[in-house]
Amino acid sequence: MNPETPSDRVKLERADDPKLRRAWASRARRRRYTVLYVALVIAGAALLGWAPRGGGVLQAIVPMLAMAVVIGVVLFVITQLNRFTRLSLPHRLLDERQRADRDAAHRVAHKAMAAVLMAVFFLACLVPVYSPPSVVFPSGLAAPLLFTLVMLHTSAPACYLAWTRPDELPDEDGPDRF
Amino acid sequence: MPSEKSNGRRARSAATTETIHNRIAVLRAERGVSRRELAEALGVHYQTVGYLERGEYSPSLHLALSIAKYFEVPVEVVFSTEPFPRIGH
Repeated sequence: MNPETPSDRVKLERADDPKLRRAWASRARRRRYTVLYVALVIAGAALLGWAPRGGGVLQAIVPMLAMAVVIGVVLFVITQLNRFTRLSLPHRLLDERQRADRDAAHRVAHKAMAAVLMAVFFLACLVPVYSPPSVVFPSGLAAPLLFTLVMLHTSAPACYLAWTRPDELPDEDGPDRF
Repeated sequence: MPSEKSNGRRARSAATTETIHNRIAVLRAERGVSRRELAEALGVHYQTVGYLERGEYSPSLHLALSIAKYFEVPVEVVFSTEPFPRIGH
């Protein structure tokens, strides 16, 4: 955890910004944001599934705008989660405890994603292939499923850390109290 | 003879219950050192000092030796596998 360049120092200062820390120090608040994030991903998947094919320009623009808004909010929330859980910082700027936390989060996320991908592979590929012709995977589900998988894969470590890290200790030297 | 499965489960259980007790908070209070000052001297985040004091993180050998060196005491004065006796008991 040795900032070698001015840019490293800026990154560390931003990560330790008292305003940001006040906002995310409480585990309850982090968990609320994680739940909000999952709800937004579900909403995005539902919007993708609901988007009408064909029709007028207006019918195409409204769902597209709604989707853009949802994706914008999803990206904002996940960026904040990454900032607080220090996933936005390079590995060299973390101390040994933070590196261990990050490694554990990636390990858990990898295992969870492997399980989810296996389930999707089973349901989307194996079941339709080895079932009677009447059993088909609905093609309309492909886009929402892909969206959910991408969002899950990119955010699982941050969600795990945000959910499991305990409340931060108040700074003895600073004015902030949680 | 215990099976490999139960051995693995026991090893995992032992790993999760391995606790290293420490007297960092006491030494820090005695010397009048803040968490942030200690963290800066050790090159770690000050929240990590909090995690160590609460027993929520067991340090690497390097960090344990650095902490002992900072307080100028042998490492066994700061860390132990057994709980430290409480003062007044």
